[in-house]
Amino acid sequence: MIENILTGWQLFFQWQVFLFMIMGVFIGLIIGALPGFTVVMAITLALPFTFYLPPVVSIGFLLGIYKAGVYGGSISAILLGTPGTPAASATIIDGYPMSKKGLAKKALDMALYSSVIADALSDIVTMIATVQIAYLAVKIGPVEYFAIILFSLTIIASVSGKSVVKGLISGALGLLLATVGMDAIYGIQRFTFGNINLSGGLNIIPVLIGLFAVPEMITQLQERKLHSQKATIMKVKKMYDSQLNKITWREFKGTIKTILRGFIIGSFIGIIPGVGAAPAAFINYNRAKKTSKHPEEFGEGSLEGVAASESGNNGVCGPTLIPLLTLGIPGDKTTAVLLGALMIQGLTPGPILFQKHINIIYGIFIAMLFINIIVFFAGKLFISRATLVSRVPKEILFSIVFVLCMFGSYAFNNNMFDVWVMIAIGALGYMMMRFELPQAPFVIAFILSTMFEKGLRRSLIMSKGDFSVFFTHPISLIFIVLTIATIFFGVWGRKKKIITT
Amino acid sequence: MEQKRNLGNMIISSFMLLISIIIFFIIIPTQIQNPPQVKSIFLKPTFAPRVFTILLGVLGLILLLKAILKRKVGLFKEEETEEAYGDEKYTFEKEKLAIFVLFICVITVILINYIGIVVSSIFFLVFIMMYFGQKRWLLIILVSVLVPIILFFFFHELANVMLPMGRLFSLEGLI
Repeated sequence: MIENILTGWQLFFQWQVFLFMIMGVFIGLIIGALPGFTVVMAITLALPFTFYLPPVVSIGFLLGIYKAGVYGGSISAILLGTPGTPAASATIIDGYPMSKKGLAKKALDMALYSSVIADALSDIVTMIATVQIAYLAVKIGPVEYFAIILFSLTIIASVSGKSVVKGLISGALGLLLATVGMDAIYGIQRFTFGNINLSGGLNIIPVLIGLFAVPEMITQLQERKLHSQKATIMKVKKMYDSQLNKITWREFKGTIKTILRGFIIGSFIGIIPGVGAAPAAFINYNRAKKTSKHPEEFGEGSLEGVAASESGNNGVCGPTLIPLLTLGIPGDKTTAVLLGALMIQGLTPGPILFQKHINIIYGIFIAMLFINIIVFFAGKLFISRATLVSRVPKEILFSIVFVLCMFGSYAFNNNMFDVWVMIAIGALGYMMMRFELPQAPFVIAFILSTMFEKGLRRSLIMSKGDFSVFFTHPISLIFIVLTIATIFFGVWGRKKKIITT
Repeated sequence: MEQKRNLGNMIISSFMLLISIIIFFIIIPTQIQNPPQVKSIFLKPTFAPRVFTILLGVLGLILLLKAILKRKVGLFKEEETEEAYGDEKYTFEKEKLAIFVLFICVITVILINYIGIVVSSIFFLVFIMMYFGQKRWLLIILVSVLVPIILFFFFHELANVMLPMGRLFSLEGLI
């Protein structure tokens, strides 16, 4: 392995690699931070520019966009209450309340540190144990998939806030709305009402934008009309300049365990094709809340909450390449584009890639590690400018956000229908906000619903309807036991709390 | 405040219960056809929608019962304070603004078909900024013209996304 690292280093250590990695990081940060724009879009746009570049330069450029984009989603999540990427949905829960209290810089710094640390650690794991981890990925089939998703759904109770029933209602709405479209197994239309635009279901980007951006725009404009914003801007400026907006060593030390857990959870989730960064973020958030000394702070602006969600979602970045490189299985749209990029370079993923081009692979791994350093410095530069956003008058800022979202929703599929979906979900999101139905459970349920149903039905098809299959597969059994334990201790904990108060 | 929240809970839970009944008994049977060859209930396309609808209905019922019980048991002070009522006018004003903003968003999207996304966005930005108190004209004009143009350049020129230009600015509109 040392020899491979040294040969990879030779391929990596060229000025073109550094130049393109830096460009990729800045593009990724900007795209990730803009609501309505997707990292997939950015990588797809950048792909043609890589045709004539050497492999390490090309993949380094695209990975720079990817990793910086995943972190960049937290910037708009914290500053605007709108996730720049689906993975940043969990960051809103604590990041945005911190921003409203004038602690945006602190939240952004924490998001940066936890993203970079978790990402770097998961990249090291990817470098050391790619082949070994690939064997584990192969063992995860529909049965294990279903059990992991079932466990992930228990997070809903944790992010429900004060009312678990309302959180579960929100989750049930998300589960139901995700069934719109064509049934995955038999191709039957569900809830499409004869509208061809609904055949593919509701797209995640317009739904997310509608759920977060539109209600937030309405709320901020209401506040602008009914209150003066001068006082708010002055307060934000004062807080921005104050010592309270800096992370102390003690505060950072308190989040180290959460960040390390995020890297482990993110790495595990990352190797499973198709699950994605958002569930990893929410799972780590859930665990952090349960093990925290101050769980009551979660949802109100907890630094640990921001660290949990960002380390979870960035911990996925490195390991998500493992099934791609070893088995040629892209886990999501982003890795599918990266697969295309590899093939354009003449690198066909699989065992042969590791035999014939091991030096290029290690060059890419080293690039991944260095990208984290670039993301750190670029992020610091961005943060010092991005917090100026909180000084922009609300009627300007949020009207621009809506226009961005309109363009972004349309561009997702070149379809005006997605813009209408954004507005309809926006109206729903506003209604949810007014009746205090939390948005986070809706997002988790919406993202996981299709995977949950597919996993269940595929498992039952394989086992010919025998439910015992979920208990005879070891990994599945572990997750089912964890699910039952989570529900049991969650209910017991609440009952205990009621009795003592 | 607590009483208003309870009333809100009663409204939203009743609404969820009602829509779950409508979805379960009317919409699912008419909108989803189970393939005749599928015998197992768990494999039918209607299985997941039915389960999620039942879940929504049951949770709506639980919330409704909790709200009714709270009201009957009388966990609120009988005399309502001025503060509680003082809020009432304020929230209605908020709802009016919300409906208004959504209405403007809908009009903007409808106008895209006629005048295109760029011009429609310009009108939206000008209107919202002026209505919600921005008085600096130069800033209004700069923001409302530059933002859509930059976005147009990015999507249309760089990303090769064919943005809707509306009937007025398309070839059909000119003929």
